[in-house]
Amino acid sequence: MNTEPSILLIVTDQQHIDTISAFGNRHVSTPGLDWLAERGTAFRQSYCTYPLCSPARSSIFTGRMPSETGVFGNGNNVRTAIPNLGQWIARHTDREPAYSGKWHVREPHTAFVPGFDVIASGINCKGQEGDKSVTQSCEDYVRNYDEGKPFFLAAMYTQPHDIGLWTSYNFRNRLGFPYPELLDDLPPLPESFEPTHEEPARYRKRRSGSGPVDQERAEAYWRYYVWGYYRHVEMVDAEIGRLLQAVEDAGGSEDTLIIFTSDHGEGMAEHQFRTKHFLYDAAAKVPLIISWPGVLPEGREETGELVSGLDLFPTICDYWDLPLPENVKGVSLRALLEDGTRLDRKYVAVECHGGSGQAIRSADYKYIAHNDDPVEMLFNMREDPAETRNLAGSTEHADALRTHRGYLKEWLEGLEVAPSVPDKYRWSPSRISV
Amino acid sequence: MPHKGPEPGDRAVDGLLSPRVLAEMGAFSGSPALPAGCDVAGDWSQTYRIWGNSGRFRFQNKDMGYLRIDRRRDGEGLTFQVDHVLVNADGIENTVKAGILCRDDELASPVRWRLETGFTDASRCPRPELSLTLEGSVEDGRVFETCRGSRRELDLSPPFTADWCLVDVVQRWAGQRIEFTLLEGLTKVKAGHHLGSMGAGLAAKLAADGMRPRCVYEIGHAILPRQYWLDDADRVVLMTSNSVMYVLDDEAMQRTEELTVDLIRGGVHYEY
Repeated sequence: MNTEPSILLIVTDQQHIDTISAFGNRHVSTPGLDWLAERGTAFRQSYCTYPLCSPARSSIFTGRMPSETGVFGNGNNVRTAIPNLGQWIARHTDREPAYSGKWHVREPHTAFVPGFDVIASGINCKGQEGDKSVTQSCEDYVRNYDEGKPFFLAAMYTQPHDIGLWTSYNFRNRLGFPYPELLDDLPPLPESFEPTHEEPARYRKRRSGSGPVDQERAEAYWRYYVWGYYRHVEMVDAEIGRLLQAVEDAGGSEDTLIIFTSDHGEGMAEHQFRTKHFLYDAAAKVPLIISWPGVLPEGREETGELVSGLDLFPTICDYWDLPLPENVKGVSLRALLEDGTRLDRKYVAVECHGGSGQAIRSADYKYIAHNDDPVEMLFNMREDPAETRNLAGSTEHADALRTHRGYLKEWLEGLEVAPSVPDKYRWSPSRISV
Repeated sequence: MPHKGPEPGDRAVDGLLSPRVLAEMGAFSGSPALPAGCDVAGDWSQTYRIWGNSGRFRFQNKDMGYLRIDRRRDGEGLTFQVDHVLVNADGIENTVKAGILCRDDELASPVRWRLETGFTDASRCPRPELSLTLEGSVEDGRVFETCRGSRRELDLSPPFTADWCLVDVVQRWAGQRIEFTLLEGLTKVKAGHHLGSMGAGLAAKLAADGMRPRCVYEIGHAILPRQYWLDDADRVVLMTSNSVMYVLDDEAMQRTEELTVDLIRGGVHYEY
């Protein structure tokens, strides 16, 4: 066993946290991720930094919040003062990190990712085909790898993001269901399907007009959407399963730290939302599994500790004994992984809408606020994990509301917001009423 | 690189990616002429252009590569020679070549196969460190795979077939109930698949003008429903699955060559 492991980072695109059959979802079958879960630690309170591709990815690769990297929406570059993981590894080691698949900070797919050797670039918005190349290139890479030193390989899948195209062909299809045999076997709608509480205006606006055209059978179409989403997840799971098998066959599983996550989640009909770019858990939470068989505990489910996409960069640096760049916001998960040492963390934060929307998730509550809307949302996440009862106006929870406003203020004061972030997205922390 | 969104007037598809819609887009023009001697029960060669749609009639429709299948029937069974090329962003080419010996049965059940994979870089130079040869075989009902001296048993048992053989299966399918496990790309095991016939009424609405409205669909684990459209000679002329289309096109290899050259030159940009 190497004292420093090879590192395989696997990232899917737009995968809801509850889409792994090992954790009880009987409507989807994910033998690949189930296999990984049996051999690692699954974090069940894992959040992205921003439920949108480019911003979330900028955090995974820098350990900084999107408002700091300057990637406050899709299609922005990370500001040059902040190194990405590939550049950081190349600067501090003699290893050449390899990259396959979707990048999207800024170009979605490119052969030229700063700091990395791109072995395959994937095909934009066509994970159905492009992900085959991601797996093939990574399998070829790990089976042929013979450099005598640990590798870093990022396998960046596009699925299940293609669900964004599903509605084009199915939500507005006036010819009815093409496969009537499926109708009896569609998954149920989520508990939070019907909107029940006061929300910011942009949430109501987003929901309006985004559903199926056949209003009489809208629920069936939504259920068909979720059914289709699960098939997308299974597609990428099959790719991941093949890659994991290749690592095992190549004799590398006990020398390889495997980190699996997604850039952000997916609405999956919760609150009648689909895709992403809102702050409910459906989009803000992401699966995270970390495995190093024979070294780290296996088959473990971490249900209490709040973790973030910010934490991957420092965790990887920790395992390779690299220094951290200045102002990294995440923390290493190494001690938590190895012996269960708890993190000294009161909350994690999630941004949205350029940073004008902010969520603070603590152990008990989740608080959501926008700098351009008076409606706040507060959910008791122990009693109401589906986020169906907004407690922000409840006198009984006034203390919790004040506490979480305070957390938000504290968090914002610690951010080094990039100069490129427009004024309309910026907060004035001093004006937050605590 | 300026962001390019849909042009004004570019319509949303708002329905299945059907032969009728694809014909309207200009992406499908019916069945190519039948080559002399072509017999779906005997020897044939079919080349498909791989093409993707992004939910609109014009925006971001694009070629992605080609798939060529040569099928021969001889005393040993059925043999398939497969060339599959996917062109990644910036012209990186992923090539897959496969030779598959199959039983001459309704599933064209694979017996023995060999797979060679490779990649080029963005200047089209082969990358030897990204090439691989893999062999597989069925022995006493158990399926084994060998790669770089490592041999293991797959979690797979008959009946199964490969996606590349499935084109042949569909062309010969008589409508009987058929269930199988899919060995996609000869590497990924996807269980619980079956074929079905699309209802005649719906097929007639989705078929292009003058086209035989015969559509076979495939549903199963880890795929989106696939539709196979057949012509009068029982050839699969079109396969669609959500946003992706494989269409019979004798010029598919040339198109792929042009696509690769364009991408390497930086002449094609896709943003999202």
